[in-house]
Amino acid sequence: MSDTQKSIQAALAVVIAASAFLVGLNMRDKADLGGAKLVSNDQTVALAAGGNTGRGAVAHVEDRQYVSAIVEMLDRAYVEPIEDRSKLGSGAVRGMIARLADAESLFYDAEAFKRLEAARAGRFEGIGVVTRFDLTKVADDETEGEATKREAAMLPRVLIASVAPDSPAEAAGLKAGDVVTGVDGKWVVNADDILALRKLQQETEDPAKTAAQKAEADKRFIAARKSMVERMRNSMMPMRAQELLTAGTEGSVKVAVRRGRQVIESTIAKRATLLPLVAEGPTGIRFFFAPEAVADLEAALGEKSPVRLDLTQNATGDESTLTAFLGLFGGAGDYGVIRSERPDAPARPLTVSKGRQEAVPVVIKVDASTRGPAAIFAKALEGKGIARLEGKLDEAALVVAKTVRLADGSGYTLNTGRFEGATR
Amino acid sequence: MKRLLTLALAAGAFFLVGFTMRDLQAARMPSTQALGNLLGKPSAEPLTLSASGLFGEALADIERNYAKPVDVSELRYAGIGGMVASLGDPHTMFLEPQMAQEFALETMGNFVGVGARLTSDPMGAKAVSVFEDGPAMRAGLKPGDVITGVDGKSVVGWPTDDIVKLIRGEEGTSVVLTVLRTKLAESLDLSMIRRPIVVPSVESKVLEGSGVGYIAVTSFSEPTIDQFSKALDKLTAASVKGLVIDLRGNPGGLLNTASEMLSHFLDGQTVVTMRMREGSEQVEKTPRGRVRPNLPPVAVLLDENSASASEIFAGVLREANLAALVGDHSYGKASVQNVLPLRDKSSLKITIAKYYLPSGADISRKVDADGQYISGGLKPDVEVKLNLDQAPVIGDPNSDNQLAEAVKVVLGQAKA
Repeated sequence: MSDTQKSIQAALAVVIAASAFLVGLNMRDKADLGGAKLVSNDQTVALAAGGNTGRGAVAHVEDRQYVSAIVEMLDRAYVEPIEDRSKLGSGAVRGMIARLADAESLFYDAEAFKRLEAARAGRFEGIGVVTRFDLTKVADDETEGEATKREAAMLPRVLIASVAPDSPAEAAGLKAGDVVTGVDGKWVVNADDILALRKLQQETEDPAKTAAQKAEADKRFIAARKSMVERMRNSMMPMRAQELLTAGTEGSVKVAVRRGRQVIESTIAKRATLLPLVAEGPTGIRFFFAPEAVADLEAALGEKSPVRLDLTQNATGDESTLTAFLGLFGGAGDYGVIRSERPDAPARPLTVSKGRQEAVPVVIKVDASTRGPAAIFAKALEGKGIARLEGKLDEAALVVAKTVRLADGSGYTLNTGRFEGATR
Repeated sequence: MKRLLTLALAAGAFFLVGFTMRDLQAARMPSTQALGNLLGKPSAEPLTLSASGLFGEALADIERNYAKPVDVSELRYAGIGGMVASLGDPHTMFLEPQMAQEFALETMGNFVGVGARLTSDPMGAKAVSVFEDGPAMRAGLKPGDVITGVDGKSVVGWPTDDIVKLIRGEEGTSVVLTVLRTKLAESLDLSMIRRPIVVPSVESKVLEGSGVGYIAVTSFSEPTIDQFSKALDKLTAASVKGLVIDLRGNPGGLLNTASEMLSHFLDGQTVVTMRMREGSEQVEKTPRGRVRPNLPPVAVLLDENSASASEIFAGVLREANLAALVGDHSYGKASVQNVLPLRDKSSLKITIAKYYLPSGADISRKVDADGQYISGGLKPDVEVKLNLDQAPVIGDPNSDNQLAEAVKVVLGQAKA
């Protein structure tokens, strides 16, 4: 985008602001940021000793001193003494992970990370679901190829990834794939509603429309925008919605989900849902991708052949346990490749170094609620010719993500590639 | 359409910022646990960030293992941003070079055009305002004119954005606008030369019908002082019966500008008291000897996007019983920031003080766990929300219901 264009955008900001559909949030951030360019006066500059340090600071962000120079400036000038510096470090990690704008790479504060680890071992809080995000990237076609990440919109959506058996959510009829649109009476910011409004907006400007059609489109758009502004005023961010659904064992939570064209609202009591690491049921053996589950599963397998596994509603797990589980069924060997978009490491094999000698034929029940390690496990065994899958995997569920725990108990997941099974 | 699309995307981009920033603000780190070798030991020792520190480790992990190629500089900037955000103050932030430059550009507001603000109209594009001394004004374009053609080409039914694109161009080239003006049977062709335009931060006019003066102030920058003073000259010369100062959407700016603007109303009076770290105080006062006698009744329009210097200006006038506040509650930014420019063109904006209005009032914004407004800001004397049932044209009392109410207030027709 040329400077001229940008400036014209600035010039028109007032007019646009009146018709912006994300009025609340957009403008609030503008208020924050807008202060930045202007709030500075001689008195305060003189006051902040950091002012001079700032100008003299190292010139390049990759210099090691850069970060400490910033910390020093904060330390000198910030209105309150910085007593807890540890949070600066995890804040930095949070910032870096957030910049990836990747639904599979997420930062978790200490409490959220504890819940993540518990859920991976079958111990759920809240209503007993695993949620996931997806981000719809909408490129700004006006920038014509110059689009940077900042100029493209990332619109989020919170979805139910899986519903734990015997959980309050299951009893309430929530289903994997439901889009969470409201929690406790607040609107959960989601891509669908925003895109729908945008579509209405575009219709009002369609030159092919007659005046009457335009007037009609205007009316619908204005009504929808008003409703959006109202919802914005009473909204919550996706991370917070996730927390309300998956944290706590007391009280209840009001959930609104969209399933197809239907909107379903329910009030669901929270409680702990504790599931065994490995459980045999009528549809097969269910297990969690947790290190402690490997031995239990081995015991449950015994001499059975073929084995039936049920990996539906299995959307979270520790990627590092994959090879151990694969070894239990298919033994040592290569199970496919993990592809990345990095030119230096486009593919790495998924290799199992030890396991049983003879493969155990297995029938695995899967569906779109089979995600992450479970999905990769199923796909890998299918590729090896060991497993037959009943049901269909979601291709988008084959993301490989590592999990990193930080010293203060917080942590993050990092998308490291997509699994591609061997083709036979 | 593209304009709106861009807006939608800009909103989306802001949204991304919002998404992460609020997330960042919500950070609840246990305060007792120190992170291994993070930023040196959490003692008073000098702060060093060893390569093995958390920052470096996470950065290396992402660089080595993330599924897509990464830009290390960008990641480091993001990390610094996250670090600064972890203080939990939405106004203390790190501005990356690109962002800092965009702000600078926006502040300068320079571009080549004809100097008019347009809005959509069924017949083309309507001039909402025409900038003082701009090519459009010199060619005779008037607010309210509807542009139906550009260089002989009809733009009836076009999206405003595309019309704007046609109008702008190379400096020194000419453009002919075909305009419709109420009460004129024939359309006019106005020829003008495109020039660099500085978007004024103050625009003023006498509102037709009511005879009330209207001054919209979009920011508090340095030229604002002079522009505001000239606007007052112009409107008092026109003997307006009241004055509406519109600070809606004004995110603030220089404290000094607010003081200078207030000096037309208050002589050597306290504007704000700033309280810095370690309790030291500084008092900002209006300059002396500039108070204008016989100013008409004043109403200040505010909304939730009026922040910082806007709130100071409005708050001080009200506390001195010199103005009624109309509209919605303001943002609630009760802190002062210092912007430290860094050599790589990024900058660090740090909250260095809290300020209090002359009455001692603290207007700090309070939000709930979802980042939604609970309290703070200035409460208007006459509360009126912008009516979104139609597409309001800001500054036109016929469609801008907040302005219409403010006009009533200054004319004494509504109670403040």
